[in-house]
Amino acid sequence: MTGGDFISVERIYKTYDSGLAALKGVSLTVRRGETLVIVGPSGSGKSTLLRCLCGLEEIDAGAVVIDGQVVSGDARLRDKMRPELGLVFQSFNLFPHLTVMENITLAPVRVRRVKAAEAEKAAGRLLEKVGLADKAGARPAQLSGGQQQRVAIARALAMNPRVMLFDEVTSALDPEMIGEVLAVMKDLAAEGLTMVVVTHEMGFAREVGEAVVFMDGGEVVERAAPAARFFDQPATDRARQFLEKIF
Amino acid sequence: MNSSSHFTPPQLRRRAFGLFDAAVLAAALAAVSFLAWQAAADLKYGWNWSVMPQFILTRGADGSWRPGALGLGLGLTLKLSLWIAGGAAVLGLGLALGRLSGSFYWRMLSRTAVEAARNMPPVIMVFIFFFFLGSQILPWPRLIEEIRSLPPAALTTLEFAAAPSGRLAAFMSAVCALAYYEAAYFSEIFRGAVLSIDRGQWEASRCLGLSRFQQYRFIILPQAGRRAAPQLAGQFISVVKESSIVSVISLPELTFRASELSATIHQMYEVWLTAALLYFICNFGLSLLFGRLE
Repeated sequence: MTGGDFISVERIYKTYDSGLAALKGVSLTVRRGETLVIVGPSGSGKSTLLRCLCGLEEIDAGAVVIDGQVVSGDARLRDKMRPELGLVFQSFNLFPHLTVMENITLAPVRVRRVKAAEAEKAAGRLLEKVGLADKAGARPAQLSGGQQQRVAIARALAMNPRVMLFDEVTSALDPEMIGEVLAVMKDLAAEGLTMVVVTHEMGFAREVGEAVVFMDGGEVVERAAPAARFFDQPATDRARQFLEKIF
Repeated sequence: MNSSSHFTPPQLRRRAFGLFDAAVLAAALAAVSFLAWQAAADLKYGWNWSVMPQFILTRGADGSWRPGALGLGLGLTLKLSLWIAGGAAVLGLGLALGRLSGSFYWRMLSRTAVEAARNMPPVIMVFIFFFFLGSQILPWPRLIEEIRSLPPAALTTLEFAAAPSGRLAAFMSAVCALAYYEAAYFSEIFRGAVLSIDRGQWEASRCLGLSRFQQYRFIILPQAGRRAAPQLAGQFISVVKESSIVSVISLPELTFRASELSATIHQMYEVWLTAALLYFICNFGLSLLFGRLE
Protein backbone atom coordinates (compact mmCIF):
# COMPACT_ATOMS: atom_id res chain seq x y z
CA MET A 1 0.00 0.00 0.00
CA THR A 2 2.29 2.70 -1.23
CA GLY A 3 0.75 6.13 -1.52
CA GLY A 4 2.05 9.70 -1.61
CA ASP A 5 4.77 11.22 0.48
CA PHE A 6 4.09 11.08 4.20
CA ILE A 7 7.28 12.83 5.27
CA SER A 8 9.18 15.26 3.19
CA VAL A 9 12.36 16.95 4.34
CA GLU A 10 13.47 19.95 2.34
CA ARG A 11 17.06 21.14 2.48
CA ILE A 12 17.40 21.11 6.25
CA TYR A 13 20.49 22.36 8.05
CA LYS A 14 21.44 21.62 11.62
CA THR A 15 24.53 22.84 13.45
CA TYR A 16 24.94 21.88 17.10
CA ASP A 17 25.97 24.44 19.72
CA SER A 18 29.36 22.74 19.74
CA GLY A 19 29.84 24.00 16.18
CA LEU A 20 29.41 20.56 14.63
CA ALA A 21 27.51 20.83 11.36
CA ALA A 22 25.43 17.64 11.49
CA LEU A 23 23.12 18.24 8.55
CA LYS A 24 24.08 20.26 5.50
CA GLY A 25 21.07 20.65 3.29
CA VAL A 26 19.43 17.24 3.55
CA SER A 27 16.36 16.48 1.47
CA LEU A 28 14.42 13.25 1.36
CA THR A 29 10.93 11.84 1.21
CA VAL A 30 9.27 8.90 2.86
CA ARG A 31 6.29 7.44 1.08
CA ARG A 32 3.29 6.03 2.88
CA GLY A 33 3.80 2.37 3.72
CA GLU A 34 7.43 2.44 2.74
CA THR A 35 10.33 1.07 4.73
CA LEU A 36 13.18 3.50 4.21
CA VAL A 37 16.58 2.50 5.53
CA ILE A 38 19.23 5.11 6.21
CA VAL A 39 22.82 3.91 6.27
CA GLY A 40 26.16 5.65 6.48
CA PRO A 41 29.29 5.96 8.59
CA SER A 42 29.16 7.14 12.20
CA GLY A 43 28.71 10.88 12.46
CA SER A 44 27.12 11.16 9.04
CA GLY A 45 23.99 12.82 10.48
CA LYS A 46 21.59 9.85 10.36
CA SER A 47 20.50 10.06 13.98
CA THR A 48 20.32 13.85 13.88
CA LEU A 49 17.99 13.58 10.90
CA LEU A 50 15.62 11.30 12.86
CA ARG A 51 15.75 13.63 15.87
CA CYS A 52 14.87 16.58 13.64
CA LEU A 53 11.95 14.64 12.16
CA CYS A 54 10.31 14.13 15.53
CA GLY A 55 11.23 17.56 16.82
CA LEU A 56 13.78 16.57 19.47
CA GLU A 57 16.17 18.94 17.69
CA GLU A 58 15.36 22.31 16.18
CA ILE A 59 16.51 22.75 12.60
CA ASP A 60 18.39 25.89 11.56
CA ALA A 61 16.99 26.13 8.05
CA GLY A 62 14.80 24.20 5.65
CA ALA A 63 11.47 22.55 6.29
CA VAL A 64 10.09 19.33 7.72
CA VAL A 65 6.72 18.49 6.18
CA ILE A 66 4.63 15.75 7.72
CA ASP A 67 1.38 14.69 6.12
CA GLY A 68 1.30 17.88 4.08
CA GLN A 69 1.86 20.23 7.02
CA VAL A 70 5.04 22.19 7.66
CA VAL A 71 5.84 21.27 11.26
CA SER A 72 9.28 22.82 11.56
CA GLY A 73 9.16 26.19 13.27
CA ASP A 74 5.62 25.65 14.57
CA ALA A 75 5.93 24.32 18.11
CA ARG A 76 2.21 23.84 18.62
CA LEU A 77 1.69 21.90 15.41
CA ARG A 78 4.76 19.82 16.14
CA ASP A 79 3.48 18.92 19.60
CA LYS A 80 0.21 17.90 17.99
CA MET A 81 1.93 15.76 15.36
CA ARG A 82 4.45 14.19 17.74
CA PRO A 83 2.30 11.18 18.73
CA GLU A 84 1.97 10.36 15.02
CA LEU A 85 5.70 9.61 14.94
CA GLY A 86 6.89 6.72 17.09
CA LEU A 87 10.59 6.87 17.93
CA VAL A 88 12.60 3.93 19.22
CA PHE A 89 15.97 4.81 20.73
CA GLN A 90 19.31 3.04 20.71
CA SER A 91 19.32 3.09 24.53
CA PHE A 92 15.65 1.95 24.92
CA ASN A 93 14.81 4.71 27.43
CA LEU A 94 12.12 2.68 29.12
CA PHE A 95 10.75 4.22 32.31
CA PRO A 96 12.52 2.22 35.02
CA HIS A 97 10.02 2.97 37.80
CA LEU A 98 7.05 1.60 35.83
CA THR A 99 6.16 -1.96 34.88
CA VAL A 100 6.23 -3.08 31.27
CA MET A 101 2.45 -2.71 31.12
CA GLU A 102 2.56 0.80 32.60
CA ASN A 103 5.33 1.80 30.22
CA ILE A 104 3.09 0.90 27.29
CA THR A 105 -0.25 2.24 28.55
CA LEU A 106 0.94 5.55 30.06
CA ALA A 107 0.88 7.61 26.88
CA PRO A 108 -2.30 6.16 25.35
CA VAL A 109 -4.17 6.82 28.61
CA ARG A 110 -2.70 10.26 29.35
CA VAL A 111 -2.23 11.66 25.86
CA ARG A 112 -4.79 9.86 23.70
CA ARG A 113 -7.31 9.62 26.60
CA VAL A 114 -7.94 5.94 25.97
CA LYS A 115 -9.72 4.15 28.83
CA ALA A 116 -7.29 2.23 31.05
CA ALA A 117 -8.94 -1.16 30.45
CA GLU A 118 -8.89 -0.64 26.70
CA ALA A 119 -5.28 0.52 26.74
CA GLU A 120 -4.29 -2.56 28.71
CA LYS A 121 -6.06 -4.85 26.28
CA ALA A 122 -4.27 -3.18 23.37
CA ALA A 123 -0.96 -3.34 25.24
CA GLY A 124 -1.51 -7.06 25.84
CA ARG A 125 -1.93 -7.60 22.10
CA LEU A 126 1.24 -5.60 21.38
CA LEU A 127 3.22 -7.57 23.96
CA GLU A 128 2.04 -10.76 22.29
CA LYS A 129 3.17 -9.39 18.96
CA VAL A 130 6.68 -8.70 20.26
CA GLY A 131 6.73 -12.06 22.07
CA LEU A 132 6.65 -10.76 25.65
CA ALA A 133 3.09 -11.52 26.74
CA ASP A 134 4.42 -13.02 30.01
CA LYS A 135 6.42 -9.92 30.97
CA ALA A 136 3.60 -7.42 31.50
CA GLY A 137 4.25 -7.14 35.25
CA ALA A 138 8.05 -7.01 35.04
CA ARG A 139 10.20 -3.93 35.55
CA PRO A 140 12.59 -2.95 32.77
CA ALA A 141 15.61 -3.81 34.93
CA GLN A 142 14.43 -7.43 35.07
CA LEU A 143 14.55 -7.77 31.27
CA SER A 144 17.40 -8.45 28.87
CA GLY A 145 18.44 -5.74 26.43
CA GLY A 146 16.61 -7.38 23.56
CA GLN A 147 13.45 -7.70 25.64
CA GLN A 148 13.69 -4.06 26.73
CA GLN A 149 14.02 -2.93 23.15
CA ARG A 150 10.98 -4.97 22.13
CA VAL A 151 9.02 -3.35 24.95
CA ALA A 152 10.17 0.04 23.67
CA ILE A 153 8.85 -0.86 20.24
CA ALA A 154 5.53 -1.94 21.74
CA ARG A 155 5.40 1.31 23.73
CA ALA A 156 5.84 3.37 20.58
CA LEU A 157 3.30 1.27 18.66
CA ALA A 158 0.71 1.71 21.42
CA MET A 159 0.19 5.30 20.28
CA ASN A 160 -0.82 4.03 16.83
CA PRO A 161 1.77 6.22 15.14
CA ARG A 162 1.55 6.67 11.41
CA VAL A 163 5.29 6.26 11.04
CA MET A 164 7.87 4.48 13.17
CA LEU A 165 11.39 5.85 13.43
CA PHE A 166 14.13 3.45 14.55
CA ASP A 167 17.41 5.02 15.67
CA GLU A 168 20.12 2.33 15.63
CA VAL A 169 17.91 0.20 17.81
CA THR A 170 20.22 -2.83 17.78
CA SER A 171 23.51 -1.02 18.36
CA ALA A 172 23.41 -1.33 22.16
CA LEU A 173 22.45 -5.00 22.10
CA ASP A 174 24.50 -8.14 22.58
CA PRO A 175 24.82 -9.95 19.24
CA GLU A 176 22.54 -12.84 20.24
CA MET A 177 19.68 -10.42 20.92
CA ILE A 178 19.82 -8.47 17.69
CA GLY A 179 17.87 -11.11 15.77
CA GLU A 180 14.77 -10.99 18.00
CA VAL A 181 14.46 -7.23 17.60
CA LEU A 182 15.01 -7.29 13.85
CA ALA A 183 12.38 -10.03 13.55
CA VAL A 184 9.80 -7.77 15.16
CA MET A 185 10.74 -4.94 12.80
CA LYS A 186 10.47 -7.26 9.78
CA ASP A 187 6.93 -8.16 10.82
CA LEU A 188 6.00 -4.51 11.10
CA ALA A 189 7.42 -3.74 7.67
CA ALA A 190 5.48 -6.67 6.24
CA GLU A 191 2.29 -5.23 7.72
CA GLY A 192 2.82 -2.13 5.64
CA LEU A 193 3.69 0.28 8.45
CA THR A 194 5.64 3.32 7.30
CA MET A 195 9.13 3.01 8.77
CA VAL A 196 12.36 4.97 8.75
CA VAL A 197 15.21 2.79 9.99
CA VAL A 198 18.68 4.07 10.79
CA THR A 199 20.83 0.99 11.09
CA HIS A 200 24.23 -0.61 10.79
CA GLU A 201 22.63 -3.99 10.11
CA MET A 202 23.30 -4.24 6.38
CA GLY A 203 21.68 -7.66 6.03
CA PHE A 204 18.46 -6.27 7.44
CA ALA A 205 18.71 -3.12 5.32
CA ARG A 206 19.10 -5.16 2.17
CA GLU A 207 16.33 -7.59 2.94
CA VAL A 208 13.68 -5.27 4.40
CA GLY A 209 14.47 -1.85 2.94
CA GLU A 210 12.26 -0.80 0.09
CA ALA A 211 14.54 2.15 -0.38
CA VAL A 212 17.97 3.05 0.95
CA VAL A 213 19.41 6.47 1.64
CA PHE A 214 23.14 6.66 2.04
CA MET A 215 24.36 9.60 4.11
CA ASP A 216 27.89 10.86 4.61
CA GLY A 217 29.21 14.08 6.12
CA GLY A 218 25.76 15.49 6.84
CA GLU A 219 24.53 15.04 3.27
CA VAL A 220 22.42 12.55 1.37
CA VAL A 221 24.86 11.05 -1.08
CA GLU A 222 22.67 8.49 -2.73
CA ARG A 223 19.15 7.12 -2.73
CA ALA A 224 18.35 3.76 -4.23
CA ALA A 225 15.24 1.64 -4.54
CA PRO A 226 14.97 -1.24 -4.05
CA ALA A 227 17.64 -1.53 -1.37
CA ALA A 228 19.40 -4.44 -3.00
CA ARG A 229 20.41 -2.24 -5.91
CA PHE A 230 22.39 0.02 -3.57
CA PHE A 231 24.32 -2.93 -2.16
CA ASP A 232 24.97 -4.55 -5.54
CA GLN A 233 25.67 -1.50 -7.66
CA PRO A 234 26.30 1.64 -5.63
CA ALA A 235 26.14 4.67 -7.88
CA THR A 236 28.74 6.81 -6.13
CA ASP A 237 32.37 6.34 -5.13
CA ARG A 238 31.65 7.34 -1.54
CA ALA A 239 29.01 4.62 -1.22
CA ARG A 240 31.36 2.09 -2.81
CA GLN A 241 34.10 2.95 -0.34
CA PHE A 242 31.65 2.70 2.58
CA LEU A 243 30.43 -0.71 1.46
CA GLU A 244 33.96 -1.99 0.83
CA LYS A 245 34.88 -1.07 4.40
CA ILE A 246 32.03 -2.97 6.01
CA PHE A 247 31.90 -6.07 3.82
CA MET B 1 17.38 2.06 30.96
CA ASN B 2 20.03 3.71 33.02
CA SER B 3 21.95 0.98 34.77
CA SER B 4 24.60 3.34 36.14
CA SER B 5 22.23 4.40 38.91
CA HIS B 6 22.61 0.95 40.46
CA PHE B 7 26.39 1.17 40.53
CA THR B 8 27.95 0.16 43.82
CA PRO B 9 31.62 0.76 44.47
CA PRO B 10 33.77 -2.31 45.08
CA GLN B 11 34.39 -3.11 48.72
CA LEU B 12 37.72 -1.79 49.95
CA ARG B 13 39.88 -4.64 51.11
CA ARG B 14 41.40 -3.86 54.48
CA ARG B 15 42.01 -5.45 57.82
CA ALA B 16 39.11 -5.30 60.26
CA PHE B 17 41.09 -3.64 63.03
CA GLY B 18 44.73 -2.56 62.64
CA LEU B 19 47.38 -0.94 64.76
CA PHE B 20 46.41 2.54 63.56
CA ASP B 21 42.77 2.01 64.51
CA ALA B 22 43.83 0.93 67.97
CA ALA B 23 45.93 4.09 68.36
CA VAL B 24 43.08 6.35 67.30
CA LEU B 25 40.67 4.63 69.65
CA ALA B 26 43.12 4.87 72.54
CA ALA B 27 43.65 8.60 71.92
CA ALA B 28 39.90 9.21 71.88
CA LEU B 29 39.39 7.25 75.10
CA ALA B 30 42.24 9.16 76.74
CA ALA B 31 40.70 12.51 75.78
CA VAL B 32 37.28 11.53 77.17
CA SER B 33 38.82 10.15 80.38
CA PHE B 34 40.82 13.36 80.84
CA LEU B 35 37.68 15.49 80.53
CA ALA B 36 35.78 13.23 82.94
CA TRP B 37 38.65 13.35 85.44
CA GLN B 38 38.83 17.14 85.15
CA ALA B 39 35.09 17.40 85.72
CA ALA B 40 35.25 15.15 88.76
CA ALA B 41 38.37 16.74 90.27
CA ASP B 42 38.07 20.47 89.60
CA LEU B 43 34.40 21.17 89.08
CA LYS B 44 32.78 22.56 92.21
CA TYR B 45 29.40 21.27 91.29
CA GLY B 46 26.97 19.05 93.08
CA TRP B 47 25.75 16.63 90.45
CA ASN B 48 22.19 15.49 90.97
CA TRP B 49 20.87 13.38 88.12
CA SER B 50 18.01 11.95 90.12
CA VAL B 51 15.79 14.99 89.55
CA MET B 52 15.99 14.71 85.76
CA PRO B 53 13.62 11.83 84.82
CA GLN B 54 10.54 13.69 86.15
CA PHE B 55 11.19 16.47 83.62
CA ILE B 56 10.96 14.01 80.78
CA LEU B 57 8.10 11.82 81.91
CA THR B 58 6.21 12.04 85.16
CA ARG B 59 3.45 10.14 86.90
CA GLY B 60 0.39 12.21 87.78
CA ALA B 61 -1.65 11.93 90.97
CA ASP B 62 -4.10 9.59 89.23
CA GLY B 63 -1.25 7.28 88.23
CA SER B 64 -1.21 8.19 84.51
CA TRP B 65 2.04 9.07 82.72
CA ARG B 66 2.39 12.57 81.36
CA PRO B 67 5.31 14.43 79.82
CA GLY B 68 7.41 16.70 81.97
CA ALA B 69 8.75 20.07 80.85
CA LEU B 70 11.44 18.61 78.59
CA GLY B 71 9.05 15.95 77.29
CA LEU B 72 6.55 18.65 76.33
CA GLY B 73 9.37 20.60 74.69
CA LEU B 74 10.40 17.59 72.63
CA GLY B 75 6.79 17.13 71.52
CA LEU B 76 6.59 20.71 70.28
CA THR B 77 9.99 20.38 68.61
CA LEU B 78 8.72 17.41 66.63
CA LYS B 79 5.45 19.12 65.70
CA LEU B 80 7.32 22.22 64.56
CA SER B 81 9.74 20.10 62.55
CA LEU B 82 6.96 18.26 60.75
CA TRP B 83 5.20 21.50 59.77
CA ILE B 84 8.46 23.17 58.75
CA ALA B 85 9.62 20.19 56.71
CA GLY B 86 6.20 19.83 55.06
CA GLY B 87 6.14 23.49 54.09
CA ALA B 88 9.76 23.43 52.99
CA ALA B 89 9.17 20.36 50.81
CA VAL B 90 6.23 21.96 48.98
CA LEU B 91 7.89 25.37 48.59
CA GLY B 92 11.25 23.76 47.82
CA LEU B 93 9.75 21.67 45.03
CA GLY B 94 8.16 24.81 43.59
CA LEU B 95 11.45 26.69 43.74
CA ALA B 96 13.29 23.77 42.16
CA LEU B 97 10.81 23.59 39.27
CA GLY B 98 11.09 27.38 38.92
CA ARG B 99 14.85 27.17 38.63
CA LEU B 100 14.53 24.38 36.06
CA SER B 101 11.91 26.26 34.06
CA GLY B 102 12.47 27.32 30.48
CA SER B 103 11.30 30.80 31.33
CA PHE B 104 13.95 33.33 32.34
CA TYR B 105 11.42 35.12 34.55
CA TRP B 106 10.67 32.04 36.69
CA ARG B 107 14.33 31.10 36.86
CA MET B 108 15.31 34.55 38.15
CA LEU B 109 12.43 34.75 40.59
CA SER B 110 13.21 31.35 42.12
CA ARG B 111 16.94 32.03 42.14
CA THR B 112 16.37 35.30 44.03
CA ALA B 113 14.14 33.60 46.59
CA VAL B 114 16.67 30.80 47.13
CA GLU B 115 19.62 33.15 47.47
CA ALA B 116 17.76 35.39 49.90
CA ALA B 117 16.94 32.40 52.09
CA ARG B 118 20.42 30.94 51.96
CA ASN B 119 22.27 34.13 52.74
CA MET B 120 20.43 35.34 55.83
CA PRO B 121 20.68 33.85 59.31
CA PRO B 122 17.54 31.90 60.14
CA VAL B 123 17.29 33.45 63.59
CA ILE B 124 16.84 36.88 62.02
CA MET B 125 14.19 35.54 59.68
CA VAL B 126 12.32 34.16 62.67
CA PHE B 127 12.44 37.63 64.26
CA ILE B 128 11.32 39.34 61.06
CA PHE B 129 8.40 36.98 60.59
CA PHE B 130 7.30 37.21 64.22
CA PHE B 131 7.72 40.87 65.11
CA PHE B 132 7.29 42.47 61.71
CA LEU B 133 5.36 40.36 59.21
CA GLY B 134 3.33 38.38 61.72
CA SER B 135 2.18 41.21 63.92
CA GLN B 136 2.20 44.19 61.53
CA ILE B 137 1.49 43.08 57.99
CA LEU B 138 -0.10 39.66 57.79
CA PRO B 139 -3.69 39.46 59.08
CA TRP B 140 -2.77 36.88 61.69
CA PRO B 141 -4.54 38.41 64.70
CA ARG B 142 -7.77 38.23 62.70
CA LEU B 143 -6.95 34.73 61.51
CA ILE B 144 -6.43 33.60 65.10
CA GLU B 145 -9.73 35.14 66.08
CA GLU B 146 -11.37 33.07 63.36
CA ILE B 147 -9.59 29.98 64.56
CA ARG B 148 -10.80 30.50 68.12
CA SER B 149 -14.37 30.54 66.89
CA LEU B 150 -13.96 27.12 65.21
CA PRO B 151 -16.12 24.27 66.52
CA PRO B 152 -14.50 22.76 69.65
CA ALA B 153 -13.54 19.48 68.00
CA ALA B 154 -11.72 21.25 65.16
CA LEU B 155 -10.03 23.62 67.57
CA THR B 156 -8.80 20.75 69.75
CA THR B 157 -7.41 18.94 66.73
CA LEU B 158 -5.66 22.05 65.51
CA GLU B 159 -4.24 22.80 68.93
CA PHE B 160 -2.98 19.24 69.16
CA ALA B 161 -1.41 19.35 65.68
CA ALA B 162 0.11 22.81 66.09
CA ALA B 163 0.04 24.89 69.24
CA PRO B 164 -2.49 26.30 71.74
CA SER B 165 -4.35 29.22 70.20
CA GLY B 166 -2.52 31.64 72.48
CA ARG B 167 0.77 30.66 70.87
CA LEU B 168 -0.52 30.14 67.36
CA ALA B 169 0.86 33.44 66.05
CA ALA B 170 4.37 32.58 67.21
CA PHE B 171 3.97 29.04 65.93
CA MET B 172 2.88 30.18 62.47
CA SER B 173 5.65 32.78 62.29
CA ALA B 174 8.23 30.18 63.23
CA VAL B 175 6.91 27.65 60.72
CA CYS B 176 6.77 30.23 57.90
CA ALA B 177 10.24 31.60 58.59
CA LEU B 178 11.97 28.26 58.88
CA ALA B 179 9.95 26.61 56.11
CA TYR B 180 11.13 29.38 53.79
CA TYR B 181 14.71 29.10 55.06
CA GLU B 182 14.72 25.31 54.66
CA ALA B 183 12.96 25.48 51.29
CA ALA B 184 16.17 26.80 49.80
CA TYR B 185 17.97 23.61 50.83
CA PHE B 186 15.09 21.33 49.87
CA SER B 187 14.97 23.01 46.46
CA GLU B 188 18.65 22.30 45.83
CA ILE B 189 18.10 18.64 46.72
CA PHE B 190 15.12 18.38 44.36
CA ARG B 191 16.93 20.26 41.60
CA GLY B 192 19.96 18.00 41.85
CA ALA B 193 17.76 14.92 41.73
CA VAL B 194 15.83 16.14 38.67
CA LEU B 195 19.07 17.02 36.87
CA SER B 196 20.41 13.54 37.62
CA ILE B 197 17.63 11.90 35.61
CA ASP B 198 18.87 10.60 32.28
CA ARG B 199 18.11 12.85 29.29
CA GLY B 200 16.60 9.86 27.49
CA GLN B 201 13.72 9.85 29.98
CA TRP B 202 12.79 13.39 28.92
CA GLU B 203 13.16 12.57 25.24
CA ALA B 204 11.21 9.31 25.35
CA SER B 205 8.30 10.84 27.25
CA ARG B 206 8.28 13.89 25.00
CA CYS B 207 8.19 11.73 21.89
CA LEU B 208 5.17 9.92 23.31
CA GLY B 209 3.40 13.28 23.40
CA LEU B 210 3.43 13.94 27.16
CA SER B 211 3.16 17.59 28.15
CA ARG B 212 5.84 19.11 30.36
CA PHE B 213 3.54 18.83 33.37
CA GLN B 214 2.86 15.16 32.57
CA GLN B 215 6.56 14.49 32.10
CA TYR B 216 7.27 15.80 35.59
CA ARG B 217 4.23 14.15 37.12
CA PHE B 218 4.59 10.64 35.70
CA ILE B 219 8.21 10.23 34.65
CA ILE B 220 10.67 12.65 36.21
CA LEU B 221 9.47 13.39 39.74
CA PRO B 222 8.73 9.77 40.73
CA GLN B 223 12.32 8.89 39.84
CA ALA B 224 13.83 12.09 41.23
CA GLY B 225 11.91 11.68 44.50
CA ARG B 226 13.40 8.26 44.99
CA ARG B 227 16.89 9.58 44.35
CA ALA B 228 16.39 12.54 46.66
CA ALA B 229 15.00 10.49 49.55
CA PRO B 230 18.27 9.92 51.45
CA GLN B 231 19.19 13.60 51.30
CA LEU B 232 15.66 14.69 52.20
CA ALA B 233 15.81 12.45 55.26
CA GLY B 234 19.11 14.03 56.25
CA GLN B 235 17.66 17.49 55.76
CA PHE B 236 14.70 16.61 57.97
CA ILE B 237 17.05 15.77 60.82
CA SER B 238 18.72 19.11 60.24
CA VAL B 239 15.27 20.75 60.52
CA VAL B 240 14.75 19.15 63.94
CA LYS B 241 18.02 20.70 65.11
CA GLU B 242 17.45 24.07 63.44
CA SER B 243 14.03 24.36 65.06
CA SER B 244 15.80 25.09 68.36
CA ILE B 245 16.31 28.70 67.26
CA VAL B 246 12.60 29.47 67.58
CA SER B 247 13.21 29.55 71.34
CA VAL B 248 14.09 33.22 70.69
CA ILE B 249 10.39 33.98 70.21
CA SER B 250 9.48 32.02 73.35
CA LEU B 251 7.92 29.02 71.69
CA PRO B 252 8.31 26.37 74.40
CA GLU B 253 10.09 23.74 72.34
CA LEU B 254 12.89 21.62 73.75
CA THR B 255 15.64 24.26 73.81
CA PHE B 256 13.36 26.88 75.32
CA ARG B 257 12.17 24.44 78.01
CA ALA B 258 15.75 23.49 78.81
CA SER B 259 16.79 27.10 79.13
CA GLU B 260 13.79 27.86 81.34
CA LEU B 261 14.39 24.81 83.50
CA SER B 262 18.10 25.43 83.93
CA ALA B 263 17.27 28.88 85.25
CA THR B 264 14.77 27.55 87.81
CA ILE B 265 16.25 24.38 89.24
CA HIS B 266 19.97 25.23 89.21
CA GLN B 267 20.83 21.79 87.84
CA MET B 268 22.04 23.55 84.73
CA TYR B 269 24.49 20.92 83.43
CA GLU B 270 22.11 18.02 83.92
CA VAL B 271 19.36 19.92 82.12
CA TRP B 272 21.45 20.81 79.08
CA LEU B 273 23.05 17.39 78.87
CA THR B 274 19.58 15.81 79.05
CA ALA B 275 18.30 18.12 76.32
CA ALA B 276 21.29 17.23 74.14
CA LEU B 277 20.64 13.56 74.77
CA LEU B 278 16.96 13.92 73.86
CA TYR B 279 17.86 15.62 70.55
CA PHE B 280 20.40 12.89 69.87
CA ILE B 281 18.07 9.99 70.64
CA CYS B 282 15.30 11.54 68.59
CA ASN B 283 17.49 12.29 65.55
CA PHE B 284 19.46 9.07 65.70
CA GLY B 285 16.17 7.21 65.94
CA LEU B 286 14.89 9.09 62.89
CA SER B 287 17.99 8.33 60.88
CA LEU B 288 17.73 4.62 61.75
CA LEU B 289 14.06 4.72 60.74
CA PHE B 290 14.80 6.45 57.43
CA GLY B 291 17.63 4.02 56.79
CA ARG B 292 15.24 1.13 57.23
CA LEU B 293 12.58 2.72 54.98
CA GLU B 294 15.12 3.07 52.18
